Amino acid sequence: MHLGRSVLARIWLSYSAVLLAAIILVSVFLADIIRDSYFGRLEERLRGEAALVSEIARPYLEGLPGGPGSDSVPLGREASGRARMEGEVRRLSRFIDARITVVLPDGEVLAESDRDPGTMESHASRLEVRTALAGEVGSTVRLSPTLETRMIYVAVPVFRGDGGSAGDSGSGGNGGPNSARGSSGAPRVAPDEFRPEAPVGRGTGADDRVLGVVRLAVPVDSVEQALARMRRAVATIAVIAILASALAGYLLARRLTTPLRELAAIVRGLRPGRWEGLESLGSLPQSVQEIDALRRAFASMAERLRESLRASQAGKAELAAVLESASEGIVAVDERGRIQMFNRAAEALLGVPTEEAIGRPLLEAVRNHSIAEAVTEARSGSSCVREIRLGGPSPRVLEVHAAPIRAETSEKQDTAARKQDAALLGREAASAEQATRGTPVVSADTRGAPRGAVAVLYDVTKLRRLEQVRSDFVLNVSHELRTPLTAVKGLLESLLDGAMQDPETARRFLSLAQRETDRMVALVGDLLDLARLESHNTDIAMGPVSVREAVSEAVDLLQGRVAGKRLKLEQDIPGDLPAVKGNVDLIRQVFVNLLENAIKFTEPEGTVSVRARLSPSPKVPGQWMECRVADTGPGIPQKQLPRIFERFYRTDAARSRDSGGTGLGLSIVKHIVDRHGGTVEAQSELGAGSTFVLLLPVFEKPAVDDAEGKGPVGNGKNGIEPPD
Amino acid sequence: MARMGLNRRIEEITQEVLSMGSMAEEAVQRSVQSLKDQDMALAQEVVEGDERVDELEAAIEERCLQLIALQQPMAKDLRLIGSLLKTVTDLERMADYATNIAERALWIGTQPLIKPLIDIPRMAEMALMMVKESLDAFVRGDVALAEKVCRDDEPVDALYSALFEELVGFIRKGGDTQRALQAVSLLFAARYLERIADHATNIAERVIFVVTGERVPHQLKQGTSPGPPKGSPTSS
Repeated sequence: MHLGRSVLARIWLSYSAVLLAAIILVSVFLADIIRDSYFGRLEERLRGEAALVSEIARPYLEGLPGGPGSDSVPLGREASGRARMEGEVRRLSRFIDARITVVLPDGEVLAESDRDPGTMESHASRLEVRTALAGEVGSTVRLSPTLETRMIYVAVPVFRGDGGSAGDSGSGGNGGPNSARGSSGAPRVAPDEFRPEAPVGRGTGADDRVLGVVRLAVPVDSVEQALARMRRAVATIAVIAILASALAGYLLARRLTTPLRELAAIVRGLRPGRWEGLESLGSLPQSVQEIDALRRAFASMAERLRESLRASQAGKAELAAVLESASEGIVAVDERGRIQMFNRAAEALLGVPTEEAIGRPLLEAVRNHSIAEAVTEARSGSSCVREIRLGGPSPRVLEVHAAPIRAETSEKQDTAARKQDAALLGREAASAEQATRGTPVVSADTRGAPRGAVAVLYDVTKLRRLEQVRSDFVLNVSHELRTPLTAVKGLLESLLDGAMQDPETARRFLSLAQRETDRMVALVGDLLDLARLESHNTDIAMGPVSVREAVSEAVDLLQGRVAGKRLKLEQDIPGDLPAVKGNVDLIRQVFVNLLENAIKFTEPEGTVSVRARLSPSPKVPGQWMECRVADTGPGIPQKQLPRIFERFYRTDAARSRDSGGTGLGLSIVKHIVDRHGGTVEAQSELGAGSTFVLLLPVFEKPAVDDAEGKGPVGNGKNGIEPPD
Repeated sequence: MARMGLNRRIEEITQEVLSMGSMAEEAVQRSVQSLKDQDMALAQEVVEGDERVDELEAAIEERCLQLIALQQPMAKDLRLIGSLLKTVTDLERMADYATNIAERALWIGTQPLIKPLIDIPRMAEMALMMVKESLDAFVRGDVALAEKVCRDDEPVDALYSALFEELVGFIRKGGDTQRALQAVSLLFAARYLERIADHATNIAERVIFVVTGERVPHQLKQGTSPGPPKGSPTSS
């Protein structure tokens, strides 16, 4: 802090200035007064004494040449008179402690107390002497050229003794001891004439009456010394006063500034996360009213700041949490293209750890030019949508939505923040809003410029695959339907073209057409079954189903074909097995489809077997029935095993169509088993045959009313009709 | 053009080089995929996509030269711009090789493959990793990573040697000309991948040079020269 700007310095400086000015003024006036009165008194004394001396000197002067009685006084006497006068003057001078000079009207020094008058120059030019010669009392303060000290001179004229008879007797008495020249007619000065009020010489012919001048002088050094003493005293007092004022100023300043300093320190210490100072702000000792008000204002401001900060931090954290846990990948970059935000989903989709991505240019972190291009486009101001394919071990399809981040958003945030503030501030809200309405926070030209971009990444791999599956499905269905339709169409055309005429041919053609039509019916039936199974809103009545019965019913249906291929059909289903929980018609259909499949692919005289048992080690808790349908067919290549449950998937396209399948059988099986909560899987060894393993849940009797539970199961009202 | 900071400009060009790297990587990856899956459409896409890489190369080159001419970069900046220029050439070559692989895929078409493709995709994976890491090392000035890339070239070369023996074996067997020709195509594809890995090594070596100012010792570079004399079948 600069010294000149501290409160202490200012108070002290102004105090001192005022004090100094006062002291100087007082001392100047005082010195004047002291000097005036001192000189006045000194002059008065000197006048009195001078009057006395002049009375003593008069007889001598009257006897001098040039005087009125000069003719009568011989020069010889004069010389002795002069010597006597000299002695007189010296004596007097010792008495009154002043230098005495007696000057003749022509300026010659007649007698002098301190020096030899013979060596002295003419004193006519001395101011006081001139004044006195003019008949008045003269006084000056000046450097004595003879003694070279400052002296006060008072000179009085010595008049001829014409005027004052009273003075005669007085002077006679005075002059008694040294009135060698007689005292008759000695001039005297009336006491009045020595008063300062009446200094002017009376009478017109003053010059003539003046016999000489008696001048008294004392050095004024004593005055100066007194004044100097006084000045020293004043200076000492001034210093003490200034020191005292400094102390007082310091105390006052400290009283003012200490709380201010403390306040400043506390306020400086306040920062996000460090609000401890707020308590001490409230607990500061009482101080000046104004400072208390300031402190309270600071406290409430800090409180409000803390509140709004907390609110905005909470909002920010919430937002971050929301973005972080979004299932879409979110990547935001700033205006220089550096990554600002990279959430978990983005991390998973792009395979880049968030810590590595944050703060780096997008292309550096995510080495993919398509995403980078989309984001660059967004940064230049236009949103865009791209679909990108990620290669590598697990190919993915991502849909990238990139959009610019504009300043507008921040304005929106500002408004939101302002609203929040307003809510916090309560009554100040109105005025705050008024204030902000007047001055827009974001100026118009910065508003539209993008400050970065945000890209949202959707994983559409599954979606694209499903779309692929759907379009494949439609393609397959059309293909499957077209083949028999084309055949039927050809047969009908041939019939119309004349084959009709030959009953034998016509019969053959019609039976062929019937076979094709059957296939179409079967296909459409299967498709409908599938569709029903897939639409989850149809309820399927579940109840206890005996696997043994279901299998034997299925076998009955397929008996003809088994016999046709001279297959050996083995059944190993213990009679004491519990029922499974399911729909009797659907369970039967599962076995029909699986057996049909097995029969179809097994060479003549092969073996098809069906076994069932309680699953010894279920993967899922609960009781499960394990059913195996095995054949001795050619088997299924390992690679194709996962796909055989797909619709229209054929391991060997040509052969299986010949055998009249729709390509949907296993798909239906899978769907049915899924609806029952079970599983189905295929195991196969090329050349040795295939085995389909079913796991179905065992029926657990409900505690009450099992009879009623069984009721609706048998009628198959909600079930699906088995094919054929 | 307003004078921007030199660093800023170099950074921008670096981003474009990375973009180009990403394109080249993608081209390589997709070309091998098209070869493996016999996906003609994908192969065609790769062939057509090469034009973009070439354009980008020209654009980057132009910017680099402009930067040198207008801003007179000194010392490290100049070395950096120089290495950017050369890296761009490497990347362009990689993309070219990718196109060549895709052309091989188109040539083979849908005829059944003489053997399931396992080693070639593996080679591609290794080469792609090298490309990615060399660019990472380039961007970060990471010498350790660059050295790793240089070392990684060896297994690629070894794999190429093995493939070479195997495919030459197919050709020697004679008989079906079609099969022999396919073996030649696959051999070419493997050769291209081996070359791509070499270009990645070049980039990595340049990183070491730019950062440390030291050239990589030669034996590290050509420690194992794969089977056939270099350069014979590759001229394309």
